[in-house]
Amino acid sequence: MRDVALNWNDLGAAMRPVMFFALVAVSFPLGLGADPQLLREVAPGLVWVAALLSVLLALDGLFRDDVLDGTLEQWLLSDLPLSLTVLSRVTAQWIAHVLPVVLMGPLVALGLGLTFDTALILMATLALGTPTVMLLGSLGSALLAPARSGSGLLGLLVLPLFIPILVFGAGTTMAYAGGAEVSAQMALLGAMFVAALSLLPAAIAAALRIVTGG
Amino acid sequence: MAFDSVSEFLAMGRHGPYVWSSFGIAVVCFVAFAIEDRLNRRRAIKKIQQAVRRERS
Amino acid sequence: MARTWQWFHRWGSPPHVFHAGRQWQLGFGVAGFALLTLGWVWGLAFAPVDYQQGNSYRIIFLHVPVAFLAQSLYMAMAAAGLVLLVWKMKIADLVIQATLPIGAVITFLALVTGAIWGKPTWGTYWVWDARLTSMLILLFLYLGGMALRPALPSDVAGRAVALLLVVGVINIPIIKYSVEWWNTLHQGATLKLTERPAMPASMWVPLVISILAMYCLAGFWVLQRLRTLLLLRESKAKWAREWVGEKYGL
Repeated sequence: MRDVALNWNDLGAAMRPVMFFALVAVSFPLGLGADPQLLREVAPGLVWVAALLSVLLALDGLFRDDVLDGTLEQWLLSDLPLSLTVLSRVTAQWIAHVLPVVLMGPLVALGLGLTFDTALILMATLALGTPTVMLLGSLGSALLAPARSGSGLLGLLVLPLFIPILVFGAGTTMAYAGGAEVSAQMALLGAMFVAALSLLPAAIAAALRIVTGG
Repeated sequence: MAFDSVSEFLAMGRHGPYVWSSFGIAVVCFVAFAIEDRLNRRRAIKKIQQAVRRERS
Repeated sequence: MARTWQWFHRWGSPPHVFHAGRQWQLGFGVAGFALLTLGWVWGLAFAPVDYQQGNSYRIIFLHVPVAFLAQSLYMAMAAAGLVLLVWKMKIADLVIQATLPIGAVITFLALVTGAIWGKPTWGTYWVWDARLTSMLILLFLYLGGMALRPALPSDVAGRAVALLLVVGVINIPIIKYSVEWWNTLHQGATLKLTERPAMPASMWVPLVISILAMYCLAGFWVLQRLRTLLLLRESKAKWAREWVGEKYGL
């Protein structure tokens, strides 16, 4: 809980992913040309890719300060299991940095010509998918905690892991736009979220222990 | 034999460049594995030899 | 039970792996190159022409073995990663280091041969079909494993890479499934590489031989690299110095 407050205090940093997202989302129509048909077709994928890149931004250096300033040691010493502390840290980061992107996503989608209900489906996929992506990416952040920041290494490590969620998030939206019934795919996204939520915090905790030699 | 002559074999019915470039790249990679190991092995041996010589002196 | 434990521990000791490994290395090497020659000569010169694809299908004797190998090597590394993380056998870290570049090159080879094969078959070097795309992602997984090590302090790097590999291996089936589903969404023209009729024995026998050959060669290459890495790492060890002394003089 203290983390959420901290994050909101650092509003500048929290705004970065969302600003980045907006910039990317605007660049694409400018780069691709204003053909409404084209924009409508690529919108789900485009929004999703932009969202993924924004999440990467939110993930960079996620645990670095905690490792450097000794917070991690305190976590290890406290009574709470490390995986729980990790989960709350990641959740706080998601709320502060990624939730704005999820909320903005459908607005961008509407701007690209998607219908209202398709934009809602897109938001739903983002809402289910970005936490999963965040957890997967946090594993990478944990592994890279001792490393220098800003290198593209985090992207290289975790983007392959993001691919299934990207495929299902964007694909489900596109299928819906094409008139298909997508409850099965949404359930799959939900299942991935639940699996990530139950399995990944422990893995992230293990990663933190490994890279600090504990 | 599936081919009537050596030149037919090399040509592979117009597909020669594709087939042979694929296998060629593979052979290059295999040779590269061998060369890399040979170089590393030599480096390892030299390292040990130098270390022993330094400790003797 | 005690016997298995002994065996397990013996393979954790560097001198044992180095010395006993030599025979395995030789065995794999001889078998691998022999089988490869047999498989490739048979496949290239003696197997019948494919009526659909002409002679370009012969790339299959290279592409399929390396594609299978690329995936198997990753799984082997993940298994070694588990051994490192759970049983803390340090040799597993060297096994991973030995295998990563081999696997990456093999995956690259699979991609390149797949692309070259695609040109005469579909008219284009690259298609976003399920298998090629999954193979590309696999290459990134390999590259990620290789890139992580230099970024971390050396005492923790081995286990970090091991964890990354284990997580990666769990993801591989998920990635494959998702890419296949994505492919069905976007199936424009029917670009199915593999819906072939059953192969006659004159084709699948050399194929199986080539696959076996490639796996043996992988064993050869990994053992070769592993033993060299052992020499590099253990330059202070008595067994290493004795061996160098005998073979090369000190």
